[in-house]
Amino acid sequence: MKLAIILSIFLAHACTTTRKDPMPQTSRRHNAPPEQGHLKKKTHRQKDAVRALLDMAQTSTRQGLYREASSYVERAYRIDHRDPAVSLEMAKVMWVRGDDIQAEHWAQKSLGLWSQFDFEGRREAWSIIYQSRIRRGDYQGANEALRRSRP
Amino acid sequence: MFRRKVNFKNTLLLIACLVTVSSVVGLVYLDYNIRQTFSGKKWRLPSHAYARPLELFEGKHLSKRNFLRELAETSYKQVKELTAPGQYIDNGSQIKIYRRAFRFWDEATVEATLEIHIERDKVKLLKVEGERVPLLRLEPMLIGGIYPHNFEDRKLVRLQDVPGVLTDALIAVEDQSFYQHNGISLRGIARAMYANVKAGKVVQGASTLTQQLVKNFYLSSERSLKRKLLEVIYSLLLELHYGKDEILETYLNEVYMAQDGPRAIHGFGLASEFYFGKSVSSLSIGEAASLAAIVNGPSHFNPRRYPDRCRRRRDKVLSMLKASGKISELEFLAATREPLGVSKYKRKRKASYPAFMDLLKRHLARDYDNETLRGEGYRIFTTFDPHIQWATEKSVAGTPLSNKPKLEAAAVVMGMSGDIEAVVGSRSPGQLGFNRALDSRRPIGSLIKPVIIAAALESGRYQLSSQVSDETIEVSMENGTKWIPKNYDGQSHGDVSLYDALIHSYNHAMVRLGLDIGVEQVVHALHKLGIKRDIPKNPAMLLGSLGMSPLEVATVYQALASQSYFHPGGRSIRYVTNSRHEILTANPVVLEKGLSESSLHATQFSMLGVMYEGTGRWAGNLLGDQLRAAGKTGTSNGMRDSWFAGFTGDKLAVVWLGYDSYKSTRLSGTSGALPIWFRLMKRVAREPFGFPKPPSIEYHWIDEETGKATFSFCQGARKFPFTNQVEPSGVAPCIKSIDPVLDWFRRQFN
Repeated sequence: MKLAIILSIFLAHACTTTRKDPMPQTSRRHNAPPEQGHLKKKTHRQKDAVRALLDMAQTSTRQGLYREASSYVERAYRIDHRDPAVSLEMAKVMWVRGDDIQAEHWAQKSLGLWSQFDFEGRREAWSIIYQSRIRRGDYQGANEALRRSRP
Repeated sequence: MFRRKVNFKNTLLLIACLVTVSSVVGLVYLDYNIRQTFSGKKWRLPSHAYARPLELFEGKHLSKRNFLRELAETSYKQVKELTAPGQYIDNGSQIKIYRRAFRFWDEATVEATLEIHIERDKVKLLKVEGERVPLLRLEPMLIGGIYPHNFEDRKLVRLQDVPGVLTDALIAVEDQSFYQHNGISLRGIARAMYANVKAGKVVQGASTLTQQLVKNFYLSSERSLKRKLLEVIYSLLLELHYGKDEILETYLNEVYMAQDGPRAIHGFGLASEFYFGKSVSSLSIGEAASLAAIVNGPSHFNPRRYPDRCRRRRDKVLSMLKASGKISELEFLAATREPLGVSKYKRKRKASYPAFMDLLKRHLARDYDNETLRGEGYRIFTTFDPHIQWATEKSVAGTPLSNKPKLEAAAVVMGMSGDIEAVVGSRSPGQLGFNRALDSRRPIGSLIKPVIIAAALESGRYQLSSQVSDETIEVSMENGTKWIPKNYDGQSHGDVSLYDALIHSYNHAMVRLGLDIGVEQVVHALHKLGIKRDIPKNPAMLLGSLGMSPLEVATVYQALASQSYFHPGGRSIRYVTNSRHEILTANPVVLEKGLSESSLHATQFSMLGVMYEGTGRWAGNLLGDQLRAAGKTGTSNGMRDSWFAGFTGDKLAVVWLGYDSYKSTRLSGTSGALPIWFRLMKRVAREPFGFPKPPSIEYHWIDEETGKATFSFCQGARKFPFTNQVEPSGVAPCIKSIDPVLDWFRRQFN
């Protein structure tokens, strides 16, 4: 009887302290921080506003209006800084503006945001890194980027 | 006799010659003076600082209350029917706005009617001229100006942009023969003299618009014959060189129209916005007549203070317009029936957002001298977000400040793009004074600990699960003294993991760790995290003796919140344009490489732990997973400073509390700064901290007590991030207690 009461208290406690994102099998910490397992990245859902701004940025880039293009991408970045397409677009704008360092930084940032299944986005980011490194004369780094841009 | 006559004649001739020559020289000088002033830059225009433009898109979180407040602060007037730009209708969840045209740094928006649907503090639908659009932006709020020394402010208008009825009204009431005279009106002088003699006092003036302009532009308001004579000469010369339209346009921009605190409102462009909240081109007949009426005595006919007096004067102007055939009988009747329509005056605080403006001026000082800013009419587009600022001010104002009258506070809020969105520099945010957010470098206490952890991980010698002793440590200082740091609870905790040392803020363990990797490594990590200045390398800095301002802390934590690439420095300026709308300064969002992504990921893991089970637990639990946050508490020696720095997915905030006299606050980071930070984040944060696993990180099951490898089903097992393809060493026993229930109770009550 005693054991049953203790067990029911134990179970009740366990149930009430279970979080939406529980730490797997931790004996002490019920409020443990989330680990990577349950935060698997999904393909990013792009907001309409971001899409519209990126379209305007691409149009401006095609017309050679790089400052305007950069401004549109910045607006998109403030709306959704976690959208990998925004960072990639910024990398492209920086590249056409001749800022190789920033182009590579933005491409690297986008790589940290693409899901591992977004092959096209990752390939484009590596491609920008490759071209930026070529421009800087870093041929070894460029080769590495070229290798990684291939599926 | 003859000789004397000749001499007298010669003297007279000489005097006449001298008078003529000096008159000619004087005239030439006056002429030169007039042309110099009139042909060049006529005015010193103040530079204006704007908040960020309000970007609206479907799905955006937007408090309707803040939105309406921003509209009001941008001089939008609530009406029942939209008739002119600068008005809005509030229909509950639907707000209709007649947007003004505005020239941004990158594009010009045109006047348009907007429809914004807000439900449960979220934008649901946006329409421009009835067409659904994915996004739109409103003109930014003016947050301050850098004025010329005389505090004159004006918005220049071109004659073609001013409605004809306004110039007609002005000419009708101030100078009916403007297009006929040559600068002075002899008929007007005769008429005024007759009227004044008849009345026995001065009841009518005879100054033409040209004379009035000359008086304002070149002369003082002194009443003397000499000044009047100069006024006449200047007027004649002005009319000789310049056309009527140019003189009229200059008058429209020069004339004094109102006083707004220390700021003097000049010209019809700004007066139109000041009184009616609309551009001059949108004025109705009645409003145009009101402005023309005010010219005669801006204080006497102030429509806000003396509406009846102003209205009578306006009606007089309207009847003069009708008499001269400039408006029809019907227009006259309609205009006289109109109320004055003056917008509500909001007395502005002496300086609306002094802490942010202070920061802005310092950033501007890198590129511009003060005199240029005071006179060139620049437009400064900043990163300031009024909604965030209001929330910050409100959050700071609560406890514990409300209970401790002299306790000071400072706070900085940054967006994840490195934009500084709000700054509070004291417990009275509206008052100018010591800006603690920027200038108060106070010991940061345990806020340094995530940096030590990051430096240790970066060294490659430690993992988050690595064990480090928390036994008492004695440090020999350079001056020969011994330093014995203490734990907050006064106890030692044996061997603890780096993770535990951080979340519980164990001082012994952290000092030992810092000394092991070397103080230089910690300083190097701080530099990699965006601190550019020299930092003294002494062991005491491992417990946060290092003094930093809240803004510097925000810079470091912004880098700690990143995935290696962060936005350095913190920006307050986006763009600066000149009066011709050309970009002078562009501050694009840039990225800098910080620490490695694996070190940062593991550090963030432990900072999340602070909020889940460490010193920030209560706030973390209340924020929940919807606003998952990471952060760190900080308390300096003797509780002189209480800090909290933390971030969610979209906002980063640093809060500091302390006394200027360095008295003990009797508040830890948890009990002092954290409640303010929590209230603030509840108001401004919208996204949980994302926590993507970089490829260089692997998670392994470890035994939380020993840090050794174990299995998921074993007691005390938990997953920890491991960097650089390192795997946990050793194997921990799977079963540690044969009575888990008793063990559970023991842990709960121990």
